[in-house]
Amino acid sequence: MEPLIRLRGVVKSYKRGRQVVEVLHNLDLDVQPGEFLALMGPSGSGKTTLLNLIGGLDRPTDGEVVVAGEHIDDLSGGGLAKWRARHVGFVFQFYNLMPTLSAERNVELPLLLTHLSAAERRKNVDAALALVSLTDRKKHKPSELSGGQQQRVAIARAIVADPTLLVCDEPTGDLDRETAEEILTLLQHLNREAGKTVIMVTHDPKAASFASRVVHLDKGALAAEAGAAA
Amino acid sequence: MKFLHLVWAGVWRRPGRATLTLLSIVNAFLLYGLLQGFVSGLGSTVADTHADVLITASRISQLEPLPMSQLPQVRMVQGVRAAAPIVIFHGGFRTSQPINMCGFAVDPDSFAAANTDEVIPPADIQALKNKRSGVIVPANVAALYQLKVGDRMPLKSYFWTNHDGTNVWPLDVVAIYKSNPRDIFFGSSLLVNYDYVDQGRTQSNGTTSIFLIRLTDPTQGSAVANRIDALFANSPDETKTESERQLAADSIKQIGDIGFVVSAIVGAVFFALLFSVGAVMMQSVRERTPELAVLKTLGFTDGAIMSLVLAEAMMLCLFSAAIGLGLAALVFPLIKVGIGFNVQAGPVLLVGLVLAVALAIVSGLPPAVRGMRLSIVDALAGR
Repeated sequence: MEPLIRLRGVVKSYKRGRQVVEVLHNLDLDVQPGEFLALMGPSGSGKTTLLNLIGGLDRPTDGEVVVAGEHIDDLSGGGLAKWRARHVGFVFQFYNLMPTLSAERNVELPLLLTHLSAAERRKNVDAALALVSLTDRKKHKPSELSGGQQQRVAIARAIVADPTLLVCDEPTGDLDRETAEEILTLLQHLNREAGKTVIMVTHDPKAASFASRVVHLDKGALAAEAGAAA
Repeated sequence: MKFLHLVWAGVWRRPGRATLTLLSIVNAFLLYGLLQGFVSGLGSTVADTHADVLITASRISQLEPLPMSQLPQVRMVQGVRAAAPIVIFHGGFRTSQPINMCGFAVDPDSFAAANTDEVIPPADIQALKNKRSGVIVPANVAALYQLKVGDRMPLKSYFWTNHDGTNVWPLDVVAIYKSNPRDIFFGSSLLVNYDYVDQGRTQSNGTTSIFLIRLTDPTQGSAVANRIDALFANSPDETKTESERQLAADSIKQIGDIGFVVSAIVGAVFFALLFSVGAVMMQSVRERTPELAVLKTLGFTDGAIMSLVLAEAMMLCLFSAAIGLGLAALVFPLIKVGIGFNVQAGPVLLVGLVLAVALAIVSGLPPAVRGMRLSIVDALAGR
């Protein structure tokens, strides 16, 4: 089967003052469609950098990144933005919701870039909020929601445009154990029932156990790989 | 339109700061509207003066009298259709705090011939001729003092002493005419008989303050003025003839270059406003760096982010300017009632809106470019 994500010889380096720091070294990785992949590793191992490359937020210094058949390392800035809008849903550790907008307006944001009518957008937003069980809180602003609820709004925002891929950077890092499990169960549900491919960065082995595959990164290289979880 | 709520939310992200910024812009545009309205009123007043009317006065000063013997000579000048002597007869009435009332002593027939606007009906002119101590009163003055035809109106003249040794001139109201605030000279002035004033005053008998001249061809004003002034050059009573429009402009200039003063004030206000709005917008974008990065993450292009920030600046400036200009427009009718200036509201408001757009672009561009250029990875990492 053709992998959904294919990384070949990926190198990423940053300039820090006069120094050039290579964060990822000649990295190869395939992710199949429908996989739930957990990226684990110590701080500074390059997990988030790898996630940024897969999500089209950054470009590799060398090597190729192919996602859903598209060489995203060749896309222009504008092209990459449009590609992200079409193919990727993002979930962040600190939710990153717009504080001045209600939950439903936050979820609607990715749809503003589509040609959907206001009624169609509202229908999709309602469906996404129903999926994360937050229909009754749609008029609330982020400050009026708990951490878990805010993360569920962020997940609704990530899936509302029906992306190919969900990219999650420490999605439970700011939540208590019980709420974290709710969120992880939700992500697992989206992976198993809706067929979304999920890439998740986490420090937490418990969170990684929800993934179907776990990849360990150490000092910018793939260290080890574990099989399917629960 | 679908981004409108996003732009609006960005503007009101910090309500306190947004309200203060809004008030400062409202204030600036209210000030602009009032001052520019006043200047446009002055301009329209000058523009409303007659192009085919010349005023001949003494070269020394408008208060220096000219001999009536010049009148036949002026009437003979080529291009002069009619000429009328007019004595300035300003004064106060029935008040210890004298309110300046414009008044002119005119020869009714020659005034009617020279002032062909027909503001004053022929019947009123005839009534003035019939009553030596008569006065024709503009409707606004009649309303102010509740005067009616037949009333006695003792006017305290500012310039002329009567034969009884006082400066009080008993006048009898013979007609009330519909005042015309667009005519700054004779539109709302008292008119009395020249003979009554000239024979009653203790000095300057047989003289006039100015000659009002009506031209046969309005395009020949300058040539006719030169001919009249040449006629009396090197005489004891040299003249200075200029168009009514020029005279009005000169009178306004005596106060100062109002246009320049207003432009300087408005310029300084907008210069300061530019920095304050620019600083607020920059601060707002700086605070929202992670939010803008998230929008980019979701697929908003660099251009879309730039447009979003510019739209916020545009909304803030246009919304506030509309309030400020709206308030100024509410005051425009009061300017007309109070000082008789016809404010050109349309151009003033239009230029105000153009200024608001310019303010939004200039103050919003640096933060918009900053928002456009921000790197998602750095912004999300808090760098």
